[in-house]
This record gives sequence, C-alpha cells and structure tokens, in this order.
Amino acid sequence: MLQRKEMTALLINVISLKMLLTFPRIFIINSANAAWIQALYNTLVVFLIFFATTKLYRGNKNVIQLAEMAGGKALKILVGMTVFAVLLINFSSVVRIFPESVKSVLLQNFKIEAIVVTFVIAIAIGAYIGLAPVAKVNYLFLPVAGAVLLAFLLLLIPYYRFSNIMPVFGKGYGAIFGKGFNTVSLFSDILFLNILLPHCENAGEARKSGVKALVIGAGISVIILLGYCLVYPYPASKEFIIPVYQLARIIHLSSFFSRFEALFQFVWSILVLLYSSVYVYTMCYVWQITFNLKFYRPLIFPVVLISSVIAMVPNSMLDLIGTEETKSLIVYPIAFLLPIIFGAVSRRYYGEGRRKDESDERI
Amino acid sequence: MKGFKTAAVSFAALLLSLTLTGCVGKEPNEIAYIVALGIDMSEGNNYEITIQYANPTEISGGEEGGKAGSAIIENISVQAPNLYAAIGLANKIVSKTFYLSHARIIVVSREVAEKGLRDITETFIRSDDLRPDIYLAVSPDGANEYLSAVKPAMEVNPAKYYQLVYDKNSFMGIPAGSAKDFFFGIETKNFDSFLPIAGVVGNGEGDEETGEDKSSGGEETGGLGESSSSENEGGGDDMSDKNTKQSEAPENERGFEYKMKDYVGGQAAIELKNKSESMGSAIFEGDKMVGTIGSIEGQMFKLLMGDYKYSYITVFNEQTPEEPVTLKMIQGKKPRYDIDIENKKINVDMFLEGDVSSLPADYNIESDIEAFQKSSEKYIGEDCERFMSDFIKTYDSDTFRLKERCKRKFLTNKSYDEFKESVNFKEYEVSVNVNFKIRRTGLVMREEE
Repeated sequence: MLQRKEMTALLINVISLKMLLTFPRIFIINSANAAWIQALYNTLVVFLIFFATTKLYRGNKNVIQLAEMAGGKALKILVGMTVFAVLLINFSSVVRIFPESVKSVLLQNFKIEAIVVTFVIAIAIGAYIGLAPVAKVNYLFLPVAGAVLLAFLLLLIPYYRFSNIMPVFGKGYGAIFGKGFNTVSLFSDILFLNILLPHCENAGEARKSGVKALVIGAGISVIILLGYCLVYPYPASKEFIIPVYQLARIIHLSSFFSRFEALFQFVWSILVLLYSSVYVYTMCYVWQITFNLKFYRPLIFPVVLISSVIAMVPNSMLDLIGTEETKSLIVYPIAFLLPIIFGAVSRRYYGEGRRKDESDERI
Repeated sequence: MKGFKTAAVSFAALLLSLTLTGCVGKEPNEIAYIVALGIDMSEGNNYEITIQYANPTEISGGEEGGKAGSAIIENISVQAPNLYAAIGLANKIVSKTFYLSHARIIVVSREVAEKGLRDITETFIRSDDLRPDIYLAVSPDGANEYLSAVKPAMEVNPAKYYQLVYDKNSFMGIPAGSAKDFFFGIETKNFDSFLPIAGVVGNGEGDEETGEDKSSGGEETGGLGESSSSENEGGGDDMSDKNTKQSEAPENERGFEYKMKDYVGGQAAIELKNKSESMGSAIFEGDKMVGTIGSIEGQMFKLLMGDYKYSYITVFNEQTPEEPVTLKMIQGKKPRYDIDIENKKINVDMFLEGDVSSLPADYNIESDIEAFQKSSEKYIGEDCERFMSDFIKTYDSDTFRLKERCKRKFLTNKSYDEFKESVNFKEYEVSVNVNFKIRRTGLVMREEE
C-alpha cells in the first residue's frame, strides 16, 4: 500500500519526466514561442477531464477490475490488453530515447544496444524489488530533483530575454487552442492513478494525490517551457532534440561554474530509472490482474524484452522522434476515456455516493 | 531465494566496483585538449584549419610552476572541408586524440567571414563537444596568423587566456562574440551580429615575415566616423616593440572618446612578446561579414545595446579644449527604445553615470559640474545618434536588434514576420537622448574659487 505522498511523488515523476526528454519540442513545433501558453491550456483541459472523471468514479477498483464486473472476463481481457498496449507505446519511446540521449551526450563511443541492455537490466531490477520501495526512493529523491530544477532555473536568469517569448501568441490562437489540444497527452500518464488505485489507501486519498500531482506536474511543465522559450528564440528553439539538456549546457557563470549538465544528467538518469521501474511494474501488474496471475515477477523479463524489441524498431532517432506525436495521439484518448467510461460504469456498483464509499472502501 | 539475492547483490557490487573506478574511453593523458580553432580559406573548396592545443607537459610544471608564452600551446594546420574532418585528419598526425570540449574560440579569416559562417555555425550547434558559449572572432590578418601570434605571457592555461581576454573585452569596446548568439541571429533572422576582431600586431620583424597584406583590417577603421587621422612618426624600423600599424588608426576629434585612437585588432601597441590582440568589431549581415568598426564605435554600440557595464572614456570639455576629461563611465540601466512604426521614428534613452578619474590640473570641475554634465550628455548623445543613424543607413545589418525590439507590438508570429519582411529602418529617423550624472569626483573635492 502506498501512502498519499508517495503516490503523489510517483505521479509527479511520471507526468513531468517527458518534459526532460523530447516532449517540449512537440509544444514548440506546434505553438512556437507560445508553447508555455499551450501547456497552461492543456493543464486547464486535463483538470476538467480529471474532475469529470472523479465526479463519475466510485470505489477504488481500477478500470480492468471494473471491466470484469461489467462485462466478464472477455471485457476484462480486452480492457487489460488495451491498457497494456497504451503503457507499452508510451514506455517503448522512453526505452529508446533515453539510451539514445545518453549515447549522444555521454557515451558516444558505446554501442546503443549495450546501453539499452544495461538500462533495461537496471529497470528490471527496480521492478523486481516492487512498487513500494521504488515509490519510497522516488519520494526521497524528488525533492533533490526539485532543488536541482530550481537552481537550474535561477542560474538561467542571465540568459532570459523577454523578447524571445514575443509575439505572445506565437503561431496563433488556432495552433495553441486547436491543434494544441493534442499535447494534453503530456498528462496521459495520470492513467497510472487509475491502474494503481488498489494500491492507494482509498479513493479520496487517490483523488487528492491526483490533484496535487497534476498541479505540480503542470507547474513543472509550464516553467520548463517558459524557461526554454525565454532562452532560445523561435525558430532556433525547435531544432534541439532535448531542450532541457540544451538549457543545462548554456549555463556558464564566469570562470568558476559551468557544465551544469553533469548534475542534470545525474538527476535525469535517476528519475528515468525510477520512472521506468514503475512503468515495468505497472505493465506486469496489468497483465497479472488481467489474467488473474498469482505473481508478477516472472512477467518482468518478457515485458522488458517486448519493450526493448519495440523500442529498437525505429531505425534511427529521426524515425523515433517522427513517430512521437502520432503515438501520443493514439495514447491520450484511450488514457482519458477509459476512466471516464468505467467511471460511469462504477456508479452501477458503487452508486450510493462518493462520501460513503470513501469511508467504506478503506483497505 | 536468499541465495539468489546474495548472488545478485554480490554481482551488482562487483559490477559497480569494476566499472565505476576508471575512465570510460580515454584516459586524460591520452587526450590533446584543443583550446582554439582557426579557419582560413584554402585551395578548392577546402579550408585551412589551424588546431591550437594545450601542451600539458609545459602547463603543469611541478614545484617550478608551469611555463607561459608559446611553450604552453602547439599549432597544427591541415586542409579539410570542415572542422571535424580536420580534427579527424589531425588525429592521424599526433599521438593523442583531439578533444574539443575545452575549445574557447573559433577564429575565422576575413575571407571566410565574407563568404559566410552558416556552415561553421551548423557544425558547432550540432556538436556536443563544442560549448554554446564558445567565442567567434574574425581575424583580418588570417586565423592561422592570429593563433600563431598568441603567446600568453601571463597565463599558464591557454583556455583561460582566451576566456580572460574575451570576457574582459566584453566590458569595453568589442562585442561578446558568443557563437550561440550568432547562431540565434542567423537562424531567427530577428537580428544581425557583431563579432570581435582578432588582430596581429605588426612590428618590423613580423611584417617582413608575413608580407604587407596584414594591414587590411585597418583600412576600414572608423568607416562610419569622420575622424581625422593624425600622423604617427613613432613606428620606426629600429623599434621592434612598436606597432607599425598604430599609425593607421585615426585619432578621434569628436566629443566622445576625444583624442583617443579608433583601433581595430592589430593596431594598438601591446605586450612585447604577445603579438595578438582583440579590438574593434566585424559587422555581419546574416552570416556574412560586410564591414568593420573601430574600438570607439564599438563602445558606442555597446552603450546603445546596454551591454557596456563600465570603462574609462575621455570626453571633450569646452573649458579645456586641448585636454580631455577622463571618466569611469558606468551604464547602470539598459537603454529604453521607443520605435514608432507609424511615424518611422526610433527614440533611444540612455542612462549613464560617471566618476571623474582624470582631468587637467588647473581645471576645477566641481564648480562647473552641471555644465560639464550637460555638455557630456550632448557629446555622447550626438556621437551615438550619428553612429547609429549612419550605421543603419550604411548597412542592411540589424545589429541594434530593432526588429526584435518591435516584437512586442505584434500578437502573432505571422504578423511579425510580415513586418520583418517589409520594414526598412533606413527610412527611420534616429534620436538618442542621454541622461548622464557625475556621481563621484574621486578622493578630491575642490572648493569654488
């Protein structure tokens, strides 16, 4: 069982981590220097979706368990596999992007396969240890990561140019509020909250974790995008694959402080390892409850293997980044719609009201 | 299960102890650290690329300390189509492997700069080795010539030498020359850049070796000004520490930097041993160099951009017309630009402070402080206005970032881009107003007589 603060920290990690990789570029390409406004708009949208879901949802059964209650094993397997596929699509990108980034910036002379293998071994060990220890380590490490992010933003102050975020609406209102809706996929990992509902103390605690994680995750995303837009003018800003790394490289305080990226790479690596361990655990857990398996650990190796094989499918970083936006377009409708649909279903079984089920359903 | 856990932990401990105790890839003593790169034109489509690298055996001198001058650096020149091809080639020549992450400056020759630096910026922006804040500089004497002339007399670390020279100069009359900003300018087309001029001091001995082309940088000195050149008879053949190019620099007769010479790199007299220097600026339109300005106009440019920080300036004083008053001038606040697109007017308000540093002994500035402030405001304002106005009319180079300053007037990039395409600042009227205050008069305050 996870405490509320651990679940919150875990959700903050899974939501914000994408911003440390290639995701900010999708915002920049869409809205140019107004990417931060797009992130604010996405935050508003996701809050509406989240509050709609929590209004509907009853009990602390996740969508897979509710599918079984509503439509038997067949529906449960269908929903379970859908959720697994969504998680796999999300995760396989990270399994490839992170080692590729490590190769580009740290281990240029290493084979990518060797880096991927080392990385998946590390996350397999994390998943093997289990959710609770990983969540605890994540909870302890997140303040360190937060302090580094804060220092990072402060050290960037000399490089901020207000004119870089002008004209304020970038590519225009249509780009921000129309096409920009799609980047709500940034928050698609809020699906974790639903899958891991049985690990929460009760539905009320889970809801509070969700709200707090969304506020902090959205805050981090907006700040990172705003910082990036203030330092890098458009269209130069759309050219860099890993914007946050690019920001870290730029920090140079006279002759006594530079190469901040070394600290960034340390924090980045730990966060990705924690994120990936949670992901592998969750994918195994989905499989476990879908097929009523007694243990999840024997599933770690096949899950890691499947993820690695899918991750290696794109021929190059170019192909991989090209498919990023398409993947997120597939993922986010499912990630947001499933909890809403099964939230409505849950009312059939836990229809007596939220307040009552919060007190009755304590585990 | 317990046995498996013990085995797993033991394996992990062994793996960490074996992998975390050494360097990945190369050991430091197998690496040659590049500190500067020079790019000159060569035959065909190739460049002549000079790689200047640190000589670590001379830098770390044990108890006696490291050496200085030419001993701490080595140069190697190869012909190649780009930087990395040159480094690949040079790696085959020397025993160690070249490493770029300590490179502090890329110097390009005037010919290369006039041809365009787009390809070079493309190389460094893709590179993980080269730092985004690496300096770019233009050498009218040739990049190889400049790098060969660099003999840091007071530094044992050559990378530090470049950092100190170019960081220090960023306080005064040359632009900062950051490669990152240059890239932003050509990529966004929102502004153009100035880069520092890296020149070679011409003494009698050096001129004999290198021919007479070295003076090319000086030909355009003070190109925008109306300064008159005064003859300097001092640069004789018998004085090898004198700079013969010094006579080419015109003396300024205007109020701002009165009686000062308007140098570009290579014209000022400097250290006897180190023949390299950085002064003046190369003007760019996009990625192509189109002209030069001297150190005085460089200072005005920094004042107008709000990058001045502080330096010593000389100002014409009507009470002592033969001798200037020297001030330590500080720019406490960035200038305020008001660009009126409809009426085609550019108004700049500058805010400056000064401390009196030096003045003719028989002149009592304290009794005349208000008048002196007013006349200084007038001279600085007039000279900056003339410089800015002439510059805008002469070049299609938006180094004052006027387009960028108009960004806030637009709501979307589309409307801003349309403005960018159509605007012609040559039609704009420029006005510079200076708000100048004398804060201190040194340790002396004379009573009125």
